[in-house]
Amino acid sequence: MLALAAPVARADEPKIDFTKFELANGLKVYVIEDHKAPTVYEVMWMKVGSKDEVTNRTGFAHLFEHLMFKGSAHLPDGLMDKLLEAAGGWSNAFTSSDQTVYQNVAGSNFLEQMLWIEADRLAGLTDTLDQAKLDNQRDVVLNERRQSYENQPYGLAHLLIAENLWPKDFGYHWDTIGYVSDLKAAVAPDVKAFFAKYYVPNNATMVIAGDVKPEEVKRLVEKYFAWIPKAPTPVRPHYAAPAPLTKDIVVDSTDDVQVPRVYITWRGPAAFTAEEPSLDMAAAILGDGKSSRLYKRLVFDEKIAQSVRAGFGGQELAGDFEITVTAKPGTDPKLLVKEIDEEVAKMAATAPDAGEVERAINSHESGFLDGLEPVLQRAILLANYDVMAHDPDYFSKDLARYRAVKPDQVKASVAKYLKPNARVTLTIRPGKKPTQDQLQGKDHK
Amino acid sequence: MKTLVAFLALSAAAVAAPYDKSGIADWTKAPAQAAEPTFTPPTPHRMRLANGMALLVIENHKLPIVSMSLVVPNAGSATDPKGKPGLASFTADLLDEGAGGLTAIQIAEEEDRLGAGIGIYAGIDSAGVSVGTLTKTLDPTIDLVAKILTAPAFDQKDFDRVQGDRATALELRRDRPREVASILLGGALYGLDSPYGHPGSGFRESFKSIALADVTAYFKERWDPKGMTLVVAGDVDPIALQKKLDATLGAWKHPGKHVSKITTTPIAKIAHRLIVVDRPGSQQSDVRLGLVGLDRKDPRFYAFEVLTTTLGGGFTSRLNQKLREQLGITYGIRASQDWRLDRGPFTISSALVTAETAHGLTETLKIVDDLATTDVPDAELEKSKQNLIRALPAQFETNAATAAAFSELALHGLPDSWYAHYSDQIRKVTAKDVRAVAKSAIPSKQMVFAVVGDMAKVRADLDKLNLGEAETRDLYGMPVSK
Repeated sequence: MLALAAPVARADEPKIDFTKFELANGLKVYVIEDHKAPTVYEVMWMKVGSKDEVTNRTGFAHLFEHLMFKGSAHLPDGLMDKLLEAAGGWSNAFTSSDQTVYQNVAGSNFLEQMLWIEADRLAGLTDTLDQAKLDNQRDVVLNERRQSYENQPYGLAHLLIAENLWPKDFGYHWDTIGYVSDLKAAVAPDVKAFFAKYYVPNNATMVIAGDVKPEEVKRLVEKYFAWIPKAPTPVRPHYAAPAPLTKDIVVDSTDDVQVPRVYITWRGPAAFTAEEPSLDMAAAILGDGKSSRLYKRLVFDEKIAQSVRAGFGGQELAGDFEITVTAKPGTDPKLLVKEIDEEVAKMAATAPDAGEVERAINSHESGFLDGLEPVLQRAILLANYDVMAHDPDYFSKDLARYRAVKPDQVKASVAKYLKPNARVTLTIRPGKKPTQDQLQGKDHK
Repeated sequence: MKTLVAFLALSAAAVAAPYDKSGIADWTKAPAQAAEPTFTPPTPHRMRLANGMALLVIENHKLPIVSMSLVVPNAGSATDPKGKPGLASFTADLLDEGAGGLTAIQIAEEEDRLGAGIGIYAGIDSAGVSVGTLTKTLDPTIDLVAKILTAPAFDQKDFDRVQGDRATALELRRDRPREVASILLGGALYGLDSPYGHPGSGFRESFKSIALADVTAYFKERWDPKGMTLVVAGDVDPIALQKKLDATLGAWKHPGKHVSKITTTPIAKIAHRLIVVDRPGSQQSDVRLGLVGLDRKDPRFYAFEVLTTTLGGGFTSRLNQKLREQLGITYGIRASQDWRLDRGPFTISSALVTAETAHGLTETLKIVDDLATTDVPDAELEKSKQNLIRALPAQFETNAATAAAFSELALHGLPDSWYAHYSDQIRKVTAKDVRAVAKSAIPSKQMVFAVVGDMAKVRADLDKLNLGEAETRDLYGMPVSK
């Protein structure tokens, strides 16, 4: 692995101070003090996601996440949210392929209540789990799937892309939301086993941020969490690096939409590896906003597209680079693919101007600083740095690795990863929404 | 990869946590809260530019970033002229498509170079500009904003291009059933050709009625600096900022044509109405229920905030608890009042699983009726009130949120000190107040229902609800006869 760019100290660099402690049971805790508002934020980052799911249980990590809000050993269903809302806060969580991240917010005078709630569900979530709770949240998740995927224009594209970009025995082959038949197959013993294996203190990074004192946080975290026994380190499914793609995998689908949309997706490196910043900058130059090359050509000049987007997403094992273009009515999507290809080839052959790279870096810097403003976002970022970059003190280093990107590196990364014969080209044309059977990955019946 | 069988075997070994070893005597008892912290909302530093524009500054030097929000009253979609729905939004769209010798692309490039984001939009009661930038590029960002505002090109070629993009966006509206459901409700409550009843982006049928000359004239009339307020929050020096703004925007003047008050005409007497759009194959029905609610200065504002929080404001609201957490027929359901200068819509919105659409509406009505007939129990009332009070600091967490919070006051002509009294006003709300406002402001018998879904599957059940004869609209939300 290449070394990351060395950080360069600058006056306008954000300094995020934090303290750290670890309990004997392996729970890692970070504290960020920020007294601007009388609010406390808790992030509990669990190292388990949809890539850890087993055969015929796709979507389970996310379904499980929902059950974390349905009561625990000593808190009846609904009480945790009533307490947090009465404290001026809320609770939420998200699940991705690699992790499940819980967030609780409350007035800072409710710190102890918040920790008591979290400890009770970490220690005894499944003590009160029953079939009715599972059935209810399964229904809610099926509705989430309908609302966020099935009933969205082009809403199933990413399920199709994942199935084609990654081999069927690789953890990114299926989407976090899961397949309907798998969600329906989940039973209460699955929940208990998943909980016992993954929801253990030594599989978590916790961040407490906001209007708190580190000593007080330490005292209370010890009080509520230290007794919870350490468990065997969860052994997650191991995935060998997938065999490289050797062709352009062309996928055609339809949806209940008015115009075609093209998605071209390549495999890329994992998060926090050396080429991530240059790929992010390549995405910005190609397809982020009105100053991007694809916007200028396809939307502004030729008027054959309604919108363009490009982005790189690095995950734990690998990343993906995706270009999305929505056609104007009457545009042949093949023309869009051809012109996207030309723009990518151009960047693989010739480094972008210094001005283009400077703009991409400055936009990134501005977005990065904005992202540090909300305390909760800062806390999530710290947990991300701890788990994924193995360096919680990574804020200024993260900014520095983007500031250091050079035009030649952008060109080199594009040439290396965005190859015309190693990708998935998905075209969704106006037509019928795919049926449930077509959506079900054939390997997941 | 582990198989399911191995998983089941493991589950048998799972044991309950040894709570008795925790040293905590009673786990069922929630720990007491610590002393209530005090929170004082920020107070803006109020100034004025040479051209009459009000300037509000809230300093925050935590990070080297700045947010600005320009409030442009009388330039939202409620002021779209008859026959030209979408003009306010077209004007906002066209402003940064060329200005002061820069092309649209050059403006976008300059924004990126400065690390700035400049967003220009038309809302309903007002238009606005929101800017986020870095302290180190604040001055050139202000130069760019000033160029956009004082020297827009309004070129025919840009107009044609943007018109094309807007036309396509309107063409694609039918792919977005949620948007269509909102249009159905607005049209039913106010009339599709009224200030509050038409979508801000206009209609497919009407976009051609807007010419470049309309945009130019609208901009001159409605974007009058004299009536504007600029709110700036972040890492700035107020005096230097005022100087810079005066040097760039201080001489900007428009003749202006003030509209003192937006007047909307809600459709006179509303009984139940049911408006439907058929989307065969929909797995869910997008539903909107609502009526013409209150205006922002209604004295019942605080009681109404407590009411909507209790009814459909958060995860533990009555609607969400019943329809999601008990019945499992939705991913979520919310109730909200759109606070406007005149009476804006009160809306309950959700996506209900197709088979349970009518059932979900029935349950919703029961919950609304209950609030009008029975006092909210003390603990629940307190939960709603404290939720509002203790969440107040979140409104000032970021510079952008702070700027938006004071922009809202400026638009409604409320004092800069308004947030300082908010908590006390909420504390005063009683269960009786909530019941009274539920009865007077959201009588379920006057609600209009908009449903976009698979009519072959939901229509028979809907007809049994006695909501009136279903009125059918096309996939764009327009009357079918057209």
